[in-house]
Parts: sequence; C-alpha cells; structure tokens
Amino acid sequence: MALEVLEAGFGATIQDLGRIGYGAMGIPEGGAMDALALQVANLLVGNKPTAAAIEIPSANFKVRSNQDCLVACTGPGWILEINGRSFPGWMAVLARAGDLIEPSTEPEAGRWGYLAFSGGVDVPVVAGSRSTFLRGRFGGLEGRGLKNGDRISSLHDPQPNLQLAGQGFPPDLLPKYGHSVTLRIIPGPQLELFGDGAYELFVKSTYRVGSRSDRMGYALEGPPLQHVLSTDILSEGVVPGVIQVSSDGNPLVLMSDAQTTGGYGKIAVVIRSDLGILAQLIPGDSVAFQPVNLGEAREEYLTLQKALIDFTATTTVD
Amino acid sequence: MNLDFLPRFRPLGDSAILISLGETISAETSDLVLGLSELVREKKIEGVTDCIPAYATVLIKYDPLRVDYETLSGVIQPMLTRKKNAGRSAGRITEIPVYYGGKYGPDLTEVVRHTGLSPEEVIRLHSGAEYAVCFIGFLPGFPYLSGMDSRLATPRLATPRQLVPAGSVGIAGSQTGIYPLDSPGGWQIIGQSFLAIFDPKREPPALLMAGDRVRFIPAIGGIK
Repeated sequence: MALEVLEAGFGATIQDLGRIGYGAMGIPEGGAMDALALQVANLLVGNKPTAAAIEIPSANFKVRSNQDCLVACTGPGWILEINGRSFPGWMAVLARAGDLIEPSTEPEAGRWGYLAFSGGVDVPVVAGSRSTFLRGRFGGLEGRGLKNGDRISSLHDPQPNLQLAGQGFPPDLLPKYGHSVTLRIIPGPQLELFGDGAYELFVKSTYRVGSRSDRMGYALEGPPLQHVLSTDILSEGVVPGVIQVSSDGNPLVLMSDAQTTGGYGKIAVVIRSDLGILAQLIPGDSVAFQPVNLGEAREEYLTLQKALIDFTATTTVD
Repeated sequence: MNLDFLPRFRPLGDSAILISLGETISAETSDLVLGLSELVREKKIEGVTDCIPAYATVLIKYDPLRVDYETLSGVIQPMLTRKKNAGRSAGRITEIPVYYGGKYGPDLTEVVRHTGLSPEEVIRLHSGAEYAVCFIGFLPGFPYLSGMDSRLATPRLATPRQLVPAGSVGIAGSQTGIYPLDSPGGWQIIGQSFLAIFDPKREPPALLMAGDRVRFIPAIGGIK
C-alpha cells in the first residue's frame, strides 16, 4: 500500500484518461477533467501518462505516504505541502515513508488538482479504464469518491527515480489557464435549429460559468439562444465539449462524465485542446468563444501532444 | 444500401464525424445506421476510437493525431453504397422477465388511466411485442427500444422521480425502455426485472447492444 487517505475532503476520485470505445454501450468517456494536468503529473513522477492518479476538487485533502515515492501535484494554482513544507506544483517531489502529503490551492485558483505518485494507482480496470464513474458507481475505488481511511495501492513498484526529483514542467508549456478565458470552438452541426443571429450572438457574447456545474456538464449563463425550430432533435451521439442548448435557450457544455447521447441542438463544440482550460473554470468565471476551422484545431492538438511527447522524453526511464 | 435520404457528414468538434442517414425514427433508417456502424467497427479503420449509433445518425469518434476529418470521411463514404444485410432480423433475442404492476410497477395504474386499457391488456400488449434495440444511450446499457404498441403510449411523469431502481421497465410517450442503473428518471414505471441489464464486472458490461431484439416475459408474482 502506497498512500493512506487521512482527509478526503469531498469528491476526490481516482481518474485516468477515461474509457475509449465504449460509447455504443452508453458508457461515458469519463476520465480526468483536465487530461493534460493528469498526464503531466504522471510524467513528472516517472509514470506513463495513461496511469491513474487522484483528482481533487478542493483543498482539505491529506494523505500519508507509507513508502518512499515521488509525488507531483498539477492544476492551476495547486501546490504541494509535505510535512508542512511548501513545494511548487507541476514539480516532482520526493516523499519518504510516513510523510504527510497535502495538495492545496490558493482560494479559487483552479478547480481540479491532480496528485500522482510513482507507481500509479492500482484499482481494477473496468471497461478499459481505472476512472471512477460516480453516477454509474463503477471504476476507481469501488465506484465512489475517496473517504478517510482509504488505502491506495500502487500498480508498479513506487521506488522513486531520484533523478526526477525537483524536475518541473516547463512553465511556457502550461495551458493558458485563467478566470476570463477564450475557448476555441467548431460551429455546431445544427445551426439551422437556431434563430437568425443566434450563433453570431453566441460568438460575440461573454458567458459566465453557472453554479450548476459538475463532472457531467457546466451551465453557461448569458444571452439566451433562441431556437426557431423544435428545440429537441432525435437523440444522437455527443462528445465532451459539445455546447447544447435546452428549450429555455441556456447553453450547457458537456464534460467528461456526460451521457453518450443527447437530444438537444448543439450550437458549437469546444476543441479538445481547450477542454482542460474549460474544466478548470469555477462558477462566476467568464468565457468567450472563438471559432476556428478543423485544420487549426488539429494543428493546436498536434502541438500540445508534441509538447507532451518531448517532455516525456525527459522523464521516461523504461 | 438503398438511400432515399442523402447522407450528411458534419464535424462534431475536432475529433468526431456526425453522419445523418435519415430524419425520422424508422426501421429502414435504423437498419442503415446499424449496418454502417457494424461496417465501421469490422473494418478497424485507422484512427477511429468509437462509433455511436442512434436513431438516425452514426457518430464516429477519431484520434486527430492519427487521422483527419477529410481522410476519414473519404474512407467512410464508400461504405454507404456497400450492400449490407445487417439489421432487424440479424439481432440476438434476449428475453427479460418482468414483474408487472404492484410495488414493482407503481405507474401501471397511470398507464391504465391514460390509455383506457385494463391492467391485463397493458401487460399483454407490452409483453406481446418483439422490440428492436435501436441504440444504447442516456445511461450505460440503457436500450432505446422500438416496436411498442402505440396504444400503450403515455406521457412522462410531470415531475421526475429522484430514484428509479435498476431494472425498472418504463414507458415515455411512444417509447419503452429499462433502467440499467439506479437513476433519477421521469418514465412511467410499469414493472421491474431482476436481470442485470448492466454489470460493470461483466465483459461486455451491457446486456444489450444496438441491433438486438428484446421480449419482456411476465414473471409470476407481479400484479396481484
């Protein structure tokens, strides 16, 4: 056993990169809300980027390490305290057996923190992933959020690679997190459902993240987008990032744990590269949208992945 | 495939293609949808990560690192002209025992009131039909079934329930379905099955797949 949970806070779960290929069974992708932050946390401690780690939605989370291991905490504004001593986030730190590890964040800096430790989290793989799917009560640790007293085992020998200790993720490669962001979008496939000018209104307006926001979706508050035709369409497949508009005209952007099909018109879809930045917004933050074409979106994604691969080269030892 | 409707390819974000094969719920459209998704799955196309059929669309998800929208559309286009005898007659038949009425089907009385049928007739009509699984969605393993007798159609509850137990069999408008997990829900619950519709410990976890056929068998001990 590698870690023991002393203070679970509320809503911390085991997550990896989610379930790929199970959509036809109605199983959501799930996985880390901020996939890049999860991958970097893993890479920093010498894990594969696909390893499972702990996703933490708020401070007041504390674990004790029962073995020597490398730990890293990522996410905007997140730092790590070990036995009360502060270390920067986005950096690998050596923790000794018995050390108290406390990820924390400046108030309201960012929403999701990722705590990875060398060896990665060992929980059973369900439908191709170790991610917790709370609504389905499966994956992760018994399909639930972490609680005090939980013991988290490591999948591989957590023997730390001391060369990695102190190494950080290059700050210039960090996503452009903030409380007022512009997200890039691809126009939705059902613009004909919306009234004249609805898409233009959406693109030139600023929305606020509503309080009704969780791992399934974030409500957006701002100018309502009127439909001209029926508000409902035949249910069809959806993906995280889809901005759907219900009959009252209010947009909601689907997140990791969103259902696999939906029957609302979609005004736009946030590009993959910006999903992590979106995920880290907190209620009240403001968001604007900028249309891009598929080529630009792909270029952006390739650049992001290349940065990850280049960084991997500096951390992988196996 | 015989296409009266011109298929439409549209991007759904930067890593999915939404292909529309019709505009209404029909057996013919469903056959096209299931035929295409089966082909896409069989072909193991480079870069395709998932394929989600629905009433009239197939959503194909892809990894932008491995393929782009234009290339993938070009690979899929020719599949629409390929003859494929998938669909309704090909599916496995799954029989699902259901305890109708009483504490297992708290809304049977509402369906009786709305339809003017007797409880026995509701059960006879509901269990007398063979249903086709159009697709799975909403919840893991939740089957969207077609083939319900139109006389059973009853609107959803005005106020959804906070908790509908797993295995609940319900009616919503002209649709019928079965809840795979405990979930909030607004369908009129007419019975319950104790068959595991979704079991994460099973591989595959979902009992039903798009293209399957389903019969509900009245279980003894339901309505008194």
